Amino acid sequence: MGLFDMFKKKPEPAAAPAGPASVKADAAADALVAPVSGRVVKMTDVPDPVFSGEVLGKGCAVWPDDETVYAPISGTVTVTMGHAVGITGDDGIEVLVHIGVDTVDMNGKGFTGYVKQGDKVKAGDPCIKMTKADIAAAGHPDCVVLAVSNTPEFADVQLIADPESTVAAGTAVVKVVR
Amino acid sequence: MIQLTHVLNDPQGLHARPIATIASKLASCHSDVEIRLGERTASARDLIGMLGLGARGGEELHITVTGEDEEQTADILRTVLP
Repeated sequence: MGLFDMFKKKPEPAAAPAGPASVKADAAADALVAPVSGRVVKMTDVPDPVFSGEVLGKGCAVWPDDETVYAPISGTVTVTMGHAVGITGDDGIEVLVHIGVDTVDMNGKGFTGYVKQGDKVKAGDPCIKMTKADIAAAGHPDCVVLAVSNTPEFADVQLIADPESTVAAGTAVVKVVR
Repeated sequence: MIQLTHVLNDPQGLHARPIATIASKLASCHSDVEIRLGERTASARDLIGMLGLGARGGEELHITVTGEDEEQTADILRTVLP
């Protein structure tokens, strides 16, 4: 094992269940990729003022066609909450991926986590599986919010995908301008 | 420096909605606000850090406010903590 291999290898999750395969993520500096396949919308169109007011940061949201949510950026997992995951990118960009609106009251039911706090992830690695039927049964919208939670540290955070377009998970959708 | 404690009434604890409210209400304040739960601490301006506290309903937060407008900041905090 080379001296630097410890920085390259992704640690195996100890307790988390094995996830599906990673998706190929567009590689570009300061770009965030879609965490799930589906229809991209502007953050301001998310049906919740916490997100649409961009209080948690700028970014976008995706109305999901699929149930697996992938890392939008390469970095370290800082928070896992069942329905949400926070990742601090290797380049200092902090992102929050939040599945659905008011899904906190599901107390984790309907969500399977594949990562835990401290894990190193690459953009496109699976993080959470949601069960859309459970979210619908709880009466919540299931849109997946992608927010740059340290937006004030950057010049701008821009949507680079066409609003209302359908994208595959791993497609670059948001760009951070320094 | 002002120190206060707060027991979370919201059974969901510090989740995205209250955290966003705290951060936005404190945007006009200049004091440093540090929230401690057990051995973990986070700045009230650090959204991911606050989520990372994993604070649940019924748990007690220890908060330290330091700065020129600390009294005003503490007053705002008392109104927005869930």
